[in-house]
Amino acid sequence: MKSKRMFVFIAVSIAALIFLFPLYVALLMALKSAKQTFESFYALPPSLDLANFVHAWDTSKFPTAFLNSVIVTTISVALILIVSALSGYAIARGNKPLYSFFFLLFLSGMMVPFQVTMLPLYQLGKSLGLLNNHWGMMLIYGGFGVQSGVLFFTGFVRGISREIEEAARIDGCSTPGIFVRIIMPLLKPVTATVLVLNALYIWNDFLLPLLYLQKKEYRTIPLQQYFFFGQYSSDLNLAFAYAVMGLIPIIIFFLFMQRFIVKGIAAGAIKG
Amino acid sequence: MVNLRRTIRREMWYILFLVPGVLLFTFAVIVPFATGIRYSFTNWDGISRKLTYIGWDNYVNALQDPDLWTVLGNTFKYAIMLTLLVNAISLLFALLLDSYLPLRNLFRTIFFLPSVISVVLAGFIWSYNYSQGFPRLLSYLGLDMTSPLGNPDHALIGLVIIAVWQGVGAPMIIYIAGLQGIPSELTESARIDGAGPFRVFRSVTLPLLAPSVTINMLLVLTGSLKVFDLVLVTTNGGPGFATEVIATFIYKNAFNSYKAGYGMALSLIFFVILVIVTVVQVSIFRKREVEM
Amino acid sequence: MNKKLSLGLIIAMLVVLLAACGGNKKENAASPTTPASASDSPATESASVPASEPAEPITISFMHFKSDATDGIAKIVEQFEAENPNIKVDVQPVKFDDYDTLLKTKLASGDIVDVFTLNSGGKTKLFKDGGYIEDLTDQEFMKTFDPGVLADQTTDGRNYIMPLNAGPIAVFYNKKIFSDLNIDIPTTYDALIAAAQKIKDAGKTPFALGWKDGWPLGMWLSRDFPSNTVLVEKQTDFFDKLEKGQAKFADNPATKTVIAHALDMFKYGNKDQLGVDYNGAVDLFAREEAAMMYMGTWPLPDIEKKNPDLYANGMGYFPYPFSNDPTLNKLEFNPDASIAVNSKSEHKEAAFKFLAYLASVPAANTWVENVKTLTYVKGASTDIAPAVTALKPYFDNGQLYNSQVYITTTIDWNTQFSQYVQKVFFKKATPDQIIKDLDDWVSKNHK
Repeated sequence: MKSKRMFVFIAVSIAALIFLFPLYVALLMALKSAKQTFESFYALPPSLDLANFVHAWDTSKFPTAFLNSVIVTTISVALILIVSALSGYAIARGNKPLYSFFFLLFLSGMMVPFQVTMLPLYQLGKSLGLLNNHWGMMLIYGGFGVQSGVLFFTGFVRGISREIEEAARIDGCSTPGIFVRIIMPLLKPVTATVLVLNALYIWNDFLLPLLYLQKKEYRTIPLQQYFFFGQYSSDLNLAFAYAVMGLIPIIIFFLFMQRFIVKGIAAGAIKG
Repeated sequence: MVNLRRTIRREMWYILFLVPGVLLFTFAVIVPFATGIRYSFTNWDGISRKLTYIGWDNYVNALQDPDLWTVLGNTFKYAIMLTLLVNAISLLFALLLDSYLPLRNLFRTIFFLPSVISVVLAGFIWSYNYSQGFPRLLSYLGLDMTSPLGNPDHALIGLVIIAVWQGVGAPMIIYIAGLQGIPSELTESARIDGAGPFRVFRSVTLPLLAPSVTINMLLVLTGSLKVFDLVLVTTNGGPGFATEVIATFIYKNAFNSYKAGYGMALSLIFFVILVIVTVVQVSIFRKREVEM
Repeated sequence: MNKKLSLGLIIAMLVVLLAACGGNKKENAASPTTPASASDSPATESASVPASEPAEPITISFMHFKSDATDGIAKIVEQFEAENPNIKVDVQPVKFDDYDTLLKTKLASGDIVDVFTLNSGGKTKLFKDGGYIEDLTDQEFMKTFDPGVLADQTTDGRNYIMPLNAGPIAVFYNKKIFSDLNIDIPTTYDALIAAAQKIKDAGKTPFALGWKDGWPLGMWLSRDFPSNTVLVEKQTDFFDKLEKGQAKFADNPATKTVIAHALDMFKYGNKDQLGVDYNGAVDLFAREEAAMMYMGTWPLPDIEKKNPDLYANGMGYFPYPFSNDPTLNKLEFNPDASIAVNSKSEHKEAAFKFLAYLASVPAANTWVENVKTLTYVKGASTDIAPAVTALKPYFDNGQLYNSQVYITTTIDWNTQFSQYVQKVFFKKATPDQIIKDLDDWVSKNHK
């Protein structure tokens, strides 16, 4: 038994190293100058030199981009969670052809390729005055995220036994009351999943900001990254430094969220 | 009578709960989608101000386009490879990390790490590694390697590797959540009954995991059929169309060849394909879940 | 009803409000009279506006695809704003590969970009037909350019774009490798390939390719092909007819020539021809592992950084000999970015002022110095880099030509051709098959 665990541990460690290798190269690039990389690729830099990071920080307005990313991601995700939890609950408990129709509608919405909606969305945003601020983007992300969100929440709520709810109804609890007092506390695990998936998607998405945010002061990190890569296409080291800088917040976020996910996931199998 | 009123009130609440979701969805998906459908019946080039309705011409041309079948082939090859690999690997990781293992939180973080990177960045890092990093590393071992992305026979696999690296994180989380939902008494009692680890996995764990499998399969498959930015930033459909997928094909038609109307028609055909794939998949898995 | 939700919403709103105040360093909400508020001026301290200024400077937006020249262009804009304190230029650099998409999306949805870069030829015609660009023919600043250059850039007889920068596209070569192997500068295609063979035999890489990126192969193809079509095969109206469906690639012997040339390039290129990108190719050349590289002048700053010795005296530059007739093989010299003004712009006067400034000698000198390409502005410096001085005789004797003026189509056959040729490299198709595929593709796109 001991030796088997040892074997598993070694196998997993090797897999982890393979997973980290490309990132190690990125970090290596970020810490070296173009000339050092050019001269020897894998050599560690002679001294810890943060020049690339300093340069990237100075030229890229990183704090602004970071703040924008945080705002857009936070509010979009909050919107998605609230709206999908409500809709998912209604679909799971309504349980009539009408609700099944909406379930299928959300599901088929997930199939719509972004290429179809790209130009029309832009025109819509223009006519409603939603370009060049964060509102339009949040609403669109909300609309995109709700599709899979409803799927998750519906599946999860269907797996919750109705007995408690029925008992609460007999005690005179109204539907919103039941939702807030009984259902919401049970939704933690699925909330965590939906939150992480959407937060990651929105944090990293760059096509939508590219279309919607022309003004510099509203740019999010990936968009800023993209412009930065374009401007320093021949200075890979600087580009990598910027990339690594963009990684740090999301890694911290994940470390923090992971505890929450593991803690939040209680017993009770997820029913799809 | 009181009962009826109560039921009606309950239904009213359900409808009310649905409203915000439907509104958001209408704004972000339905309205643009309808506009897209309208364009697909025109010869709009994406830039001029005039639209001419040309009926079903775009659709007829699309279905007669041999390139469409080539790119669909590429797309499905990529998607099937990726779906199987991502699910197998993420389930394996979830199983290994779910059991007691030293440093398992660290490992979880490491396997999840690549999926928090934007695709643009991952493509950038990997292209560089494929053409510079790995060959140099292997040359120390006396091996000669060229970038898989530069050869039409290997390019698709090269992309799948990047996508697997980026794609196991989220499904792994979902599988771990699913595994933690399985009461340990069940697996324990199976073990006590003398079942080996594989037997326990097949007869107890997997059936109970079925919902997670369904969701992961669905998400990875639809996501990978829609693959776009990874191809765009790494190979741009090359070499020799070996990695041209449906989304990039649509994009190029709409933007590089100035045929927005035709591009919209292609994307609607693509939409129909996606719906069929999903419906088929969901019904298969639902059936299996019931049987279990 | 449910306190948790409403509380959450209120908090969310507060976050947005706070953030909206925190995000804008300098300004409160823009006053409703101006549609666009000035954005942060690009990294400048000098352009402080005196307090006596009329309150609202106007802002024009400028989008360009010379994203690798961002810093140089920022300098020019800075100088312009210093001279015109009541105009602000909001610059948006975009990578070349994404430029078209972004520009088209913006224009199609009625978003107004005041000034933007365009390539002359088919693309300009498309924007002109769409009614998006202003006729610049009678503007004063256009008179400063050479009539021949302007004539090359006309669309239906009028000038809709202002020529800005230009440069030779030729072959960089490593002087040491050439002299070690006793190779003379080739003036015919056969001599070029013979030289490549010699270099290969000596264990060096003849050509640094970088074809993982689409544009280096596309750039070579879209020059070799029209040159051979028009100058060697004398099919002067081939591209016109192609557009109208009256000509086929199959009837143009140059098609076969180009495929054969491409196979030569591939054969004598670095290994992993389609896995190494442009930066990798520049690296190979800078590391002196590759003897030749077909390229414009833009890698020069990069080579200077990586291998100053090579940059200063180890490399030369010669015209690419696309044929076996040395009298035809002149130096390819193309306009790069040309500038257009949006016909819907609300600040045309300011936009014209900006164009006039770009056409002035100081702006052109800043350009040459920082971006390392030549400009069409008369009297501007031509001193790019030591390697380029070898081309001086060609400039002096007027032995220049621009193959891009032969391409009059709006169809993008080039991308398609590049992909098909790659099939031939890997024996996935024969030259005859891909010629047929190309013709099918053209007819499919022009029903």
